Amino acid sequence: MNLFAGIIFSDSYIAETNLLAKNRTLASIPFCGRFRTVDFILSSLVNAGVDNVAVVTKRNYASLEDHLGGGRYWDLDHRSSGLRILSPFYRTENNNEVFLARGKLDALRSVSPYIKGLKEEYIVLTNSNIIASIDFERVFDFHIQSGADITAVYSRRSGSAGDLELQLEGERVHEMTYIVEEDKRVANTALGIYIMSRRLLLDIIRRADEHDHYSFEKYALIKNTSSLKIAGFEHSDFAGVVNTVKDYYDISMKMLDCDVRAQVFRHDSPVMTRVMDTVPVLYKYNASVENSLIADGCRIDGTVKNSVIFRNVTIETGAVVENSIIMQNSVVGRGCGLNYVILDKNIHVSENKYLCGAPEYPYVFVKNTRI
Amino acid sequence: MFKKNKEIVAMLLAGGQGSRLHVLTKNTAKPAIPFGGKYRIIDFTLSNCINSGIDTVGVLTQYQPLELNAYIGNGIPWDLNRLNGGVSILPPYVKADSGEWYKGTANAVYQNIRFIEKYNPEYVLILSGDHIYKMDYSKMAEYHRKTGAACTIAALPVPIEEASRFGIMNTDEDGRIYEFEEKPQKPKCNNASMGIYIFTWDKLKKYLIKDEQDTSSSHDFGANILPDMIAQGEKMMAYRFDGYWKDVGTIESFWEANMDLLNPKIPLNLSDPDWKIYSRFDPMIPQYIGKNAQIIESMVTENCRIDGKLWYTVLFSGVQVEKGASLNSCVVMSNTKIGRNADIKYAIIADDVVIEDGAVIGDLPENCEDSSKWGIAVIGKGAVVRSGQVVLPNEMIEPYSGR
Repeated sequence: MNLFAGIIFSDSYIAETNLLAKNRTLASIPFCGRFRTVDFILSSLVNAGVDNVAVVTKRNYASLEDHLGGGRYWDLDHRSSGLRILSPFYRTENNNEVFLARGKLDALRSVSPYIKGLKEEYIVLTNSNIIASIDFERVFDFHIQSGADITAVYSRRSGSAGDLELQLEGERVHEMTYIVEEDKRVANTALGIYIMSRRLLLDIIRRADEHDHYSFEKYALIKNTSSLKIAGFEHSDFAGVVNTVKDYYDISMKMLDCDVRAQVFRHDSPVMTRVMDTVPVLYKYNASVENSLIADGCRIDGTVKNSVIFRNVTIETGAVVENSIIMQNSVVGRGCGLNYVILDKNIHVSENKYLCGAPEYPYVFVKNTRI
Repeated sequence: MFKKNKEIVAMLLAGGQGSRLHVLTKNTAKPAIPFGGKYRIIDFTLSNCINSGIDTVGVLTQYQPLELNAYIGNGIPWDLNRLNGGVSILPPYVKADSGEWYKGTANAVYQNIRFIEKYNPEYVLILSGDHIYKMDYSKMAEYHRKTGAACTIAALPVPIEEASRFGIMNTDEDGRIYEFEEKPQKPKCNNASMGIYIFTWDKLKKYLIKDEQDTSSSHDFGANILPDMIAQGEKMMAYRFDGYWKDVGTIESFWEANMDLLNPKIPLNLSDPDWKIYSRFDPMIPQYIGKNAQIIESMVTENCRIDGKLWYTVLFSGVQVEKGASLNSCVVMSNTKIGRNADIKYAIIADDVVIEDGAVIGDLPENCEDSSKWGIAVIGKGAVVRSGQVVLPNEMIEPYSGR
């Protein structure tokens, strides 16, 4: 049996700034033509042999449930283990009022019976918005060999607001601080993946309950860097964390780079996702495509440059799409011009429309609209 | 477990070798041959079954079944994973008193009478796994029920000059068959059998048992069972089908059927939401189209990386086409790599092939002086075509050669 079980948080509990997660979870933002953000961390866990994974939701998780189903596409539909979707609610002792979880500790408190019932010795707590192929087998070995209480996985990159920066001495983390605003400086930035024993986690939850603490980062990590041995494990391949729309756009565009793709979609560690029946892409007579990712089911009769096109998108004759992301089932009408825009799912742009954002501010159109 | 009776059980004949597909079927059964970018030939028949509401399918396998068995698996992609019914793979097996290979199509079904009886069906639908078409079998069954026939045969009008390749049905005005001729030299009409039969099970069972006892019989539906039933005066009806149907039993017809997918005038719409064609397919990264690519009137599947030119070409998943390479009217199967400046025309290239830089394969029909010598060039699975090598039109390269 695997010694590690996974707990994935469908959302971060920092201020919601992402329009793409307005009616869905951070975990279920469509990414790279046919995936959802959660697929990457979920596949990394499964590829390391983890066969007990719980996804802890916050709200608006219909799209996530729809995507994950019973876990079959990640080979997690077993009889005795597999994928669980846990939907916590937090109830106060006195007046029985129901609140949304304020932070990860709140969420963990309400799912603690599940954690107590697990047989695995260690727990991986992770966010769902990480675009990377994490080699968890190496992370697990590191955690056991280092004797750390908590292992934090980080990468060298410039973080955005809400990310944690690690100060390291060797492998030991001696300080963790919140990044307050977007920072171009490359630093040891946490990916939001923490490994600890189940016993320690239950202990942290119990103490949080006593003191009504709700932020895992603040009370379990930042304030504990001296009382616990927190070790840092560097993920040196590409990693991106989708917090804001700008993050989403930038990381999406990085997928056009062959080297980055090779690091995220590794041959020996496939990224699994829900299977949909779509036909191959049909390129018509006027198609002209350059430096773009195109998902199955598209029909293309226009120009596409430096863009990511999701499944079942139609680009009609003479339309020009540049530097844009177009999500599934959208239609770009004849003669349209799109530059630096993100079309969410199922958007119909009628003929001869010009839609334009800017590199620093890609413009998002929300799903199910007609333009 | 409680087994509910099934009105129709489908028996899918998938054991034939398909020797006219030469190098393509050397290591695998014809129904498992890849088709149309992300499908296998058998997907069409299996999808037709489930789309027609038939959820109990026996697949009769014999020749090179490993790949086919693995592909069908538990039937999940076609929604044929059922507690009662679903898809079952039926290879020949040893019985208490005997044990033998399937001697013919009729014998294959005869040997599985017990499988069919388990579901106590009213009707049995006989299908083959090597045709590309979309057909609602429930409408045919409705016709069978209404006419009260012992057997209904799907009929397709074909050009009269091709009629001698098929089983031909001579019928009276209301569609009743009075004569069935298997590949006649002088066909009397163009009513070709599509190899799709619905039998009333009681009748079929009787004729299968009778045929089995006839030592001179070749135990074939077209050659033995159908003519015998007509001779005995059973009511045999032709059910006319007008849609797209193609037997992909030859290199030429297999290539043509793939090209038909690119032709908007041909009614084989794979993306019809009301009649989906399902396939077993692992999700992969979307295709990446590079800076030097030029793609016109072509079909490209996930995980491809294209930096060359494609005209009228069908690419399966994971194909790489390097800069300067050009493909015209080709079918290229999964994970094949095509090197720089390779020039490929009118060819079928199987999976896992490596075409090195500058190789030349096939040619346009009009460039061939002797048109009788022209044909599609075929590269077998896993072969390597070396840099500068020339593969002529109509030439075939054996699987794994050049490794």
